[in-house]
Amino acid sequence: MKKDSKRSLRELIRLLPNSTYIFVVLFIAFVAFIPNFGSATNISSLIGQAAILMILSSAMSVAIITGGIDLSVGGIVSLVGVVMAQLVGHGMNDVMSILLGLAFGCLFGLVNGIVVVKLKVAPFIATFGMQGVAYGLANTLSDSRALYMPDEGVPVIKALQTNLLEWMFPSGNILTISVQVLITIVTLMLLILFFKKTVFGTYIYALGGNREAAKLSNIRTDKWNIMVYVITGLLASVAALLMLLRINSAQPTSGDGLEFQAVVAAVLGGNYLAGGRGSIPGAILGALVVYTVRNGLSLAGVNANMIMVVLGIVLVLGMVMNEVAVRGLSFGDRRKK
Amino acid sequence: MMRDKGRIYDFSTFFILIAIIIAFSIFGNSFLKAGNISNIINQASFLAIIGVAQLVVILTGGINLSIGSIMALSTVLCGPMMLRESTVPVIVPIILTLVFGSLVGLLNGFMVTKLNIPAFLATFATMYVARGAAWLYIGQGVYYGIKESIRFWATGVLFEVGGFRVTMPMVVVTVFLLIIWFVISKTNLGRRLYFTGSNTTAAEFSGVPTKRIVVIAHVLSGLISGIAGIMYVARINAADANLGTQYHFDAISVALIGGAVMSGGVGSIWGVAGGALIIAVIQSGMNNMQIPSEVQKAFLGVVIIFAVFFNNWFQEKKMKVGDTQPAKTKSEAKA
Repeated sequence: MKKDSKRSLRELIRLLPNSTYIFVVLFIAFVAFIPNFGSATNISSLIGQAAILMILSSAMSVAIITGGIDLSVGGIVSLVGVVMAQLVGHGMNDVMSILLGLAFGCLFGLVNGIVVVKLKVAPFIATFGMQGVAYGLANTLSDSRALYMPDEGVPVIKALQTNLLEWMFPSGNILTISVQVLITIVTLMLLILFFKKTVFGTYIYALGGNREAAKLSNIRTDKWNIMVYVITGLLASVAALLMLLRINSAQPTSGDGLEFQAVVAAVLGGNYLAGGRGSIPGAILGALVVYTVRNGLSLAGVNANMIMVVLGIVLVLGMVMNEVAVRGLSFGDRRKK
Repeated sequence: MMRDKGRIYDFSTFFILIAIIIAFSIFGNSFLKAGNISNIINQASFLAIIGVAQLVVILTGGINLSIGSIMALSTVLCGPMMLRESTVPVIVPIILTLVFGSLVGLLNGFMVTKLNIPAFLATFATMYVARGAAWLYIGQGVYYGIKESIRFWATGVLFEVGGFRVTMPMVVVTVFLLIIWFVISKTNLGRRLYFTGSNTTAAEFSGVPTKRIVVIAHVLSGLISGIAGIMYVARINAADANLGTQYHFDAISVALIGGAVMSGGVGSIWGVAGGALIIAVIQSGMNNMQIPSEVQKAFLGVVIIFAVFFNNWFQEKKMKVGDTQPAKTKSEAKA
């Protein structure tokens, strides 16, 4: 009996995504060695910053599990932010603007999906091209300027920018949990539920694992594959909303490089690029790792460019780790080349 | 007959080029002036170099997103030696730039073959790492004032015929394209590049060291990016870390419009030359119509997507032309 429980614990630990360990180790190391890293103020800002990336990396992981990738998420963040800000700027009701912005993101994702599935363009090059389109549109619509939110007439946006909880510690540190974090949690919960409780999750793994077999099992692979890009588009638009709330303005460059961080986070979360393997919780933890690295290193006074170099190296290491993990898992039926 | 029909697809690049030139000369009236054509060809010369850097990797079935970053890093590292006040002989920074470019290419090749990372992600990582390293090295500064002997290669004008200026870049690129054409279509190495891309397994079984070939392709790509870096630096008279932040985009469009197929094994140097001309014509035409550069990037995005689509489609057609030939003769024989 005791042995059993011990074994299931080991099983559980084995099933945890790689990013869990990295996160725990990094976090403890940073708390120990970098002053102020463990303070409540810093932790709150860390969570606030990581929220956007968590959503993007889980979107990325949905695409990666099907064996695709979505390099246009950064572009969608910029573009949808600009669209929402322009709608508000033209005097539209803020709820309506947000909804239209989200719909626009879905539409953009739909185009991605159609290009990938119907025109049979490889996902990375299709979304790479679409990223250029998003960048161009965002700059055109905003005239390459930052669009600031008005101070009045946007009650909902103002409400979404408030903090749910502020806890002042005796030391003067403040722990804050904002509505944005709440939105993130709700979005991620919904996504995970959608993944676990509907056929969608199963189909997505089937698409990435063996597309031919999925097709023969009567799964409408084309439809679901397009759906994947619609979902990444929608999630990227939610990220755009969060970005808009956080910096109180929309900038045509706000999403630049986010796709890179999202890929890094997803890969750290154990998402294997050939598809069929990986998890959303892993990607979420991956996003936390990325921001722990960024936040910790910048608190330690490391140059921002150096952090970029470090992230690139982390990406490569993460991919090597996944490769090892996959080879380890398929130990029994290792194919000889 | 059928073979000829298959060949028509090979020339699709030039049909597109002619169509675009006609379109722009209808819309913009100063388009077909000798001076303008000279400018376009001059601009295309630069694009052709980065297009070739992309092509050699695409031929093996990979892609290189780090071209712009390699250009920036390799030239920034050698920037101080290229300055006018430097006493180092010109050849030293040039060779060093090429060496640095090749080294980054080697790193890409290593990641792709030894660590089994897909080329687009490996080079995606390099894109950020190399750019970050360039920024780290130089900060926000710029090395301004390049030696005249280097600048001459990118800005020199040889002679002028009726408004048409024959510039150094045109000559440099013609020689460069001839060399690369010889390497990839006449030498053993070049044929192995094609073979590896079109069918890796078959190549492997025929004794081609495919992994080594992929590494060589990435090193070549890095080396050519180094050459492109020197040309661009010489043209703008400054080396800085922000060089070519979007050139991976241009490079991909040039190679794809030139008929390269993403899965590898298809593409030619002259296609790339045509692709470079097309992009140069489009850019020049759009500049004439005063379309902002951001919209041009959006347009290039669409162009990339459709180029991939059409190249695949052409390829399928071409296969069909090849395949149906024996079948048809059979049915004819029956009849």
